[in-house]
Amino acid sequence: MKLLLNAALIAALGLGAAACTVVTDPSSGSSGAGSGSTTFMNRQQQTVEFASVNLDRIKQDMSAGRGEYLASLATLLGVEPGLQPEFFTLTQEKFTMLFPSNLTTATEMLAALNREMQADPRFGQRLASN
Amino acid sequence: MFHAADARADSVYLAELLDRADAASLATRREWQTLLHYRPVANSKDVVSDADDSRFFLAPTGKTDPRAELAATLRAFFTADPVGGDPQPAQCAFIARYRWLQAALNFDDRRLLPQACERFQHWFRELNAEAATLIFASAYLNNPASLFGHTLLRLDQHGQTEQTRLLAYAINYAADDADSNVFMYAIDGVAGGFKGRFDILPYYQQVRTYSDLESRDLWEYRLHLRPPQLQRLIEHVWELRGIEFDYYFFRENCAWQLLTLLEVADPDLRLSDAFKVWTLPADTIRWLDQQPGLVGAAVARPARSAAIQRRYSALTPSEQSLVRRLWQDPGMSAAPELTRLAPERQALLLELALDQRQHQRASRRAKGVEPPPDAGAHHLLTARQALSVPAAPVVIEPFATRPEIGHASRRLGVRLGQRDGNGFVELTVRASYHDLLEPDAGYTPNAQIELLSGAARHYPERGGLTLDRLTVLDITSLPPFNTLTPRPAWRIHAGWEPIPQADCLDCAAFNLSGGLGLAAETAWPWRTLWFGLPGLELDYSRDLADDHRAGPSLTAGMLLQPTGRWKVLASATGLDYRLGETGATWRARITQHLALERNLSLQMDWRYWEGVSEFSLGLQVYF
Repeated sequence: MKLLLNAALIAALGLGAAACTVVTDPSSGSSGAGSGSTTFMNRQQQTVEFASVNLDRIKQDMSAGRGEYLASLATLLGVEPGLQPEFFTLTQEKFTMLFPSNLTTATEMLAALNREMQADPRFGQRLASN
Repeated sequence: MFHAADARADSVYLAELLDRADAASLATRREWQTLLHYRPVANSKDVVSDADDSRFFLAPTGKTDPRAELAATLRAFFTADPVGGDPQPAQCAFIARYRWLQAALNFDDRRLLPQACERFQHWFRELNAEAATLIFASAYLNNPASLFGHTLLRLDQHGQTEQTRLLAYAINYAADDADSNVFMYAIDGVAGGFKGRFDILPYYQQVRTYSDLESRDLWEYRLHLRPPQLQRLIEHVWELRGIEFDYYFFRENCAWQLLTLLEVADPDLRLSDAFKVWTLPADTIRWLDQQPGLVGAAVARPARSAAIQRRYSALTPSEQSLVRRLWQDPGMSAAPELTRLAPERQALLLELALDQRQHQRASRRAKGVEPPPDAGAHHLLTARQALSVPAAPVVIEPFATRPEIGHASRRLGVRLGQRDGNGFVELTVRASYHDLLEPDAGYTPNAQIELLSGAARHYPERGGLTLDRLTVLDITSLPPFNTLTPRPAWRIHAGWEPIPQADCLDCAAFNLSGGLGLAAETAWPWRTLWFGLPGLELDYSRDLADDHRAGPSLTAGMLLQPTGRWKVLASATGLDYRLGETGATWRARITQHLALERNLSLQMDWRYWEGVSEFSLGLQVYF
């Protein structure tokens, strides 16, 4: 009984006294600049990574025509701040083209987005020079 | 020939630099001490570095000898041999040390050739940092490792806006607990068995983990660092990549390591010395806030679940029921009850139902269960997309308030009272952190986390001093029930509690107990939290028959909050001990707490248990 109590005490102390987070999120993607590696991903890889990790949030933002995940995606795609409101409207209007079904992946969405932007004179030029 | 001449010239210049470094006592300077993470050894003149990784030092005795380390560093700067956690020439691997010594000794670039350090330059450009922001993640009650919050440091980018802060990089110090079980986790955590490391990840990864999955409100504090200070901080982070530190939950944890980073940035700051025994993230925020001119504006980033709950509470009852139906059956999105609302309200309801649905899926996925594809969410998305108006705005406040506005977490108190007619004087001490009766400001509301809290008593009639109670750990979480995101209320307790008897007024038992139930909030008579917690109790004591007793319990209670500073907690518990010393009994307790100032409070307590009643009145200070 005594041993059991001591064990319980140590466990309670250890668990209770813990500050900070130790648990790592198993479902998160593998992002470039972790402890070991020294190079970041290039811009395109970063865009794909961002879109994959945050696909649900991006979907929500696109359907609403605004939001910080959408603004961040626009920044990664190099859409200038002045053009972003129009970019937001574009993604809302073309939502069903960007996400034809609930199974659409991040890379499929990005490819469709690229096509829609190419076809739009406001964004097409910028993408060509990218 | 050439090489020999070079080597001779190098050794002449090295000797000169070493002499000048000694003459200026550079090794004892605060800059060098912070860069190498040296700190004084108790009761001696020696120092020791916190880093527990030989790759961090260039001298074999570097961990304890700042002067030898400085000499070895200067020597290494003359070669391009790869060193450090990420092997490269010493000038690049330890670029913050190089830059500081370069400025302090005014290196002659012709006699000590500078390395290009292209990898560092590339990394530095990619970080593109303009400022640093300290991030505080509030307590997360469902993970014992996160009870006291978490801190990390975000490097804000040039041209960043409120909308794009997700893309900034954040520096996080965490322990590597791969493949450890719960028991070893506790032992290792206390004894330093884990290895801690600095990581750099995009901020959106941290937001996902802390805010979205763990439902923790984040507070972001902009730090006022001057450009050279920020530069040195980043250079030092480069030196720390892959370097291991022994991780101690109590003191050398995330919050403490961030303080050491800030000391590198500004060696005039004295931050980590203030935390001798343990470092709670919220306490470090309070301490940083007291440093003149360091902490700027704070911005809240409410957890995803907080945003869901706030919007839900802002709806009318009929809208709430509509959201619940939408969330369960997205086919409802074409129903007339919805489409006859104003488009802004429709948009709000659709976004909320969708957010709740995605949030639940994300939580399930984080537990390792891949949920089936969600066709329903797609219905909601396309219905939302068809409305080209923004949703009706709702103000979203976080639930956890800024830690620096709260009371300090250590507490001392003195009480007068009587137990069964016997007067006493009592001294109480609590190591940390917050109880239900204390004002919510600065803490997660409706939650209690008490660690190492005890009381010693003196009964004048009998003399002497006795330990009345000692709480090892007590956690209570009473989230008010809501129909959209129901969460259970629960409590656990471990510690010695008094079990007074007629012939033994200060008999005590070791008590382990827990409960699981529900809580609900009403606005009547004041803001009131009602709770019911069925549970189990175990008492162990020599004074009990068979040394123990155990059985089910039922607690019902209410927490009244007439004002933010005045709270009343009333509860009654029925117990039925079935094992050991059997028998049914009941307890009741009413406690009032009045916060006089942020760090001063008055408490009045009445309780009845084991056929004994007790009344006490006391004053408590927080420090």
